[in-house]
Amino acid sequence: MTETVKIKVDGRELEAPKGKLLIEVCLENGIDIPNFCYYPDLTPQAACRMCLVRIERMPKLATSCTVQVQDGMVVTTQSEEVLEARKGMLDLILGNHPLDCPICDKGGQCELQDQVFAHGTVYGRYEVKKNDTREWRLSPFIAYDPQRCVRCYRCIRVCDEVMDVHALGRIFRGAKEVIGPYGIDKGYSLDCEQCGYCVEVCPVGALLSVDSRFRSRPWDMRETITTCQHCADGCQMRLGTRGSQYVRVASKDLKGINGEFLCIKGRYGSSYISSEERLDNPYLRKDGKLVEVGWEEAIKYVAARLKAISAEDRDAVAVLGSPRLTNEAAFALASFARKGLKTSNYGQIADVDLTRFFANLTAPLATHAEVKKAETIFMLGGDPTENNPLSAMVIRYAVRKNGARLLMVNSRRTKIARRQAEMFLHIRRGAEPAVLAALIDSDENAARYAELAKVKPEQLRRLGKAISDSKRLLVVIGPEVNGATLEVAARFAALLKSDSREVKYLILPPYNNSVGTLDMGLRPNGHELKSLFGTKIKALYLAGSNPVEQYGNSWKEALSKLDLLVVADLFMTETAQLADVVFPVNSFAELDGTYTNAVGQVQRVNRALEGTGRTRPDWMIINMLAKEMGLEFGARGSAASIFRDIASEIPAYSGISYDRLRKEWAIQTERKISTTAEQPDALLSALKGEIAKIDLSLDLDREPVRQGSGLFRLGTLTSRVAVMREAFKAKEQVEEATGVR
Amino acid sequence: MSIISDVVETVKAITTGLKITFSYIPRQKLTNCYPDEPVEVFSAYRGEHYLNVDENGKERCVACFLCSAACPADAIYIEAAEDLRPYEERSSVEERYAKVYNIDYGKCILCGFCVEACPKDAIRHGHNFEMAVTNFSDLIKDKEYLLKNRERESRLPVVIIDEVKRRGLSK
Ligand code: SF4
Ligand code: SF4
Ligand code: SF4
Ligand code: SF4
Ligand code: SF4
Ligand code: FES
Repeated sequence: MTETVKIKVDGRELEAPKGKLLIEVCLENGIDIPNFCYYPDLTPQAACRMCLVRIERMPKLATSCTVQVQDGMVVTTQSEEVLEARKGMLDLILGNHPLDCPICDKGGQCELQDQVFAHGTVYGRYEVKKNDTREWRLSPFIAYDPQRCVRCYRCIRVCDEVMDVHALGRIFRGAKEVIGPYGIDKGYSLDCEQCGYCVEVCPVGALLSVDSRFRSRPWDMRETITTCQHCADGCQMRLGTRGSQYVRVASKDLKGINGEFLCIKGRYGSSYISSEERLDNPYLRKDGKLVEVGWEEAIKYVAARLKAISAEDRDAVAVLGSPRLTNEAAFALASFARKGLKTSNYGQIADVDLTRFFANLTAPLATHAEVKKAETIFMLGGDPTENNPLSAMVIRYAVRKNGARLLMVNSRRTKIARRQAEMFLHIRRGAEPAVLAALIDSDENAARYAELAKVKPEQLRRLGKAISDSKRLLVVIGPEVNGATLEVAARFAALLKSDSREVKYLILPPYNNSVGTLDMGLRPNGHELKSLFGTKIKALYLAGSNPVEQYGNSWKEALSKLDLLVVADLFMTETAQLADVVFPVNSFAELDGTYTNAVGQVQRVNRALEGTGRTRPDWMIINMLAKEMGLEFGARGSAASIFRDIASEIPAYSGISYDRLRKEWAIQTERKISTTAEQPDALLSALKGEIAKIDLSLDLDREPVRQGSGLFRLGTLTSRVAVMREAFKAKEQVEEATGVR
Repeated sequence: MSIISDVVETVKAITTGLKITFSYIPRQKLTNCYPDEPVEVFSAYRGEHYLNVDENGKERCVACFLCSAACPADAIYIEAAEDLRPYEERSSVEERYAKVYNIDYGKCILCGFCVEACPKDAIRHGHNFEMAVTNFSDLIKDKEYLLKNRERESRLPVVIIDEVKRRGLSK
């Protein structure tokens, strides 16, 4: 416990932990101190001098964003002198500010506007010619208007400290100073992760998102809090819409699990909801061609065909969902298959079988907030920077703020391995089981495992020691860890747990609802079922998946063997083009529902748009089909009532309701944790098969992981986001032409 | 009461009435023979709006949405867009311009708040009051119409009177 001190601000007695910044203490107690450069969790900068206050026994006004509270401090924030100082600072800023609020995208939620209204003078006191500079496009996503910049350096600090990208700097000096990537004057553009965090923290309209340029005004759009649908971290975001159109995504002031963080996909990857390519009517194949039809016709057709096929053999109808579906849709799909069609062939297409992980879990999952507090982090595989950006951010936070020890085992030189890892074991591709075995087995066999993993035995020993030295251990498991290794990894914590050591897990699944759809009963058996297409399985209902794009020809061939393929999706995807019937579904913006993120937190998806009225949520299509087929599976008429069923049927979700979610935002589901004491020998024998599979001809992957290799990948959704498609196509072309990647 | 006094009273009353009537005949008329004659309106009359242009004919509106924010009737709908061409080539003063600018006269109460709110002097009240239509949806006027309204001003069947002069308030 830190010591508390007593201070006096404007005559009010306040208590605060010693060493806390004065501005934070004031703001928490409702005492307004204007500021630009102060930002929570960033290093103090004292650049803007808006936060000046009078502190007794200090010779001059002091910047409250850099002063730490001391016992007995007496502070004045409202005297004539302080108010005059604020006016002066604002005058200096406005001296060279264009004041083109009418055409500035920040207008209406600009901190400078607010400060000037609250603390400024009515008329500017400087009449000098303003620096007239033009706006720059720093990247396809980010624009910069140097004239509006107040030089608070929040952007630079957030990029350096939080993102660890270091893409922005101060170019030139004095009155000519601008913010930008080095070499901007030579035409270099911003080569970074394009997370837009700098845009988010910019207090004024200097850094702007190109994608939402001029689309609306803050007061003219409706903002809906919802959950990102791109990765398994499940960031909360504010989806701005106007009429029936997407406007922008922002995170500002959101008290979600991600604070203000969003990655490129979260911030810029949702405009596909207003894409022209969205399906708006069902399609039915007539004379070999997909033609638009009405709902009734399409449903009748599918119901009749399914009924006929199912009557011969129930298992001839397969139902496959996708890890992108909401919990409600997945639950309806699974119930429809299980109780309605009574087929045993249903599940989802997934590469990693996480059921093996959850069935053997021996320690709880850590929330992102808990990851921030971890003391030792052991990462077995995984590249969160590219694939689970929020996880990467909180891991970086733990290292930066709390000095966590990061022990990394990976076959690739990921960014975290290069920059945050205290210990990095660069292993042979696929050698994760050997490392895990080395940590379990006795020291005698270290040499053998070391050879398998292509590291030195000494390194394995040091890793083992660091893990056994830890007090609060976080075990991060990447998607490379699969099959029996994943199972052992889940059971591994039982060996480490002790009274003096707390162990928690973090997994890095690939999709936003990988965990939730599993919980709802969609087993990851898609690839197995594929081999039965055309033989045992005659018809397939495929919701929200595009395996042809993802896995290519093998799926294309398999799907063509089916008698009936029904696809429910947003777009006419490569897979939908093969279908006999295509149903247009609602996007996440037109739905109510929930997602369960990687750490098992249930979060709401809120309906932001009405949609065209001709698309339907996945669960509603299922209901329509079941009704037409005369099947009873416990259909419900709303997402909320489906969720009530989920809460009563699935133990991990019991007690969770939309009401609670509205108040608590994110509720972590409770996972069954096995308490049996593990025998190292049992774990080792479980690993044997996997160790035997290690391919000794494979070498280390020495190439560092390229920035954007995961972030900038175009998938079914992101390729329908105009700004992304253009940006990444252009990038690819440059890379192809120059050969530099 | 005699009949005579009745007659006298009646004639008196009629004379009083007719006196007023005849006294008004030579006076200035307050009504207009609209539409045969133009109507007089004050210069500050708040008629149908027009969208203003600058000295080179470029649209002044920058689609800042302030008029629509000020509008108590929610009558203005704007969509902004970007035109990165140089000033000479584009049709607007700034790079930001209104791609769509609609006023719904089914909602507008001609209060003038929008004119007041505009930072660019881009919207003004004209003097047209002939806004009746036979189809409700025709009450929504688009940008092209509102821009043309400026030229239409000179052809309106109205005589604009400067109330400052008329009341003898000018110095
Ligand atoms: S940054 Fe703020 S004050 Fe400056 S032009 Fe934009 S809205 Fe106006
Ligand atoms: S977008 Fe993100 S990575 Fe790029 S400069 Fe801004 S903060 Fe840094
Ligand atoms: S661009 Fe924005 S965040 Fe960066 S220094 Fe300028 S005002 Fe501050
Ligand atoms: S980290 Fe994941 S959940 Fe968060 S914004 Fe990015 S893609 Fe979305
Ligand atoms: S005159 Fe009044 S009601 Fe009409 S558009 Fe302008 S602000 Fe709205
Ligand atoms: S907030 Fe303290 S100097 Fe900027």
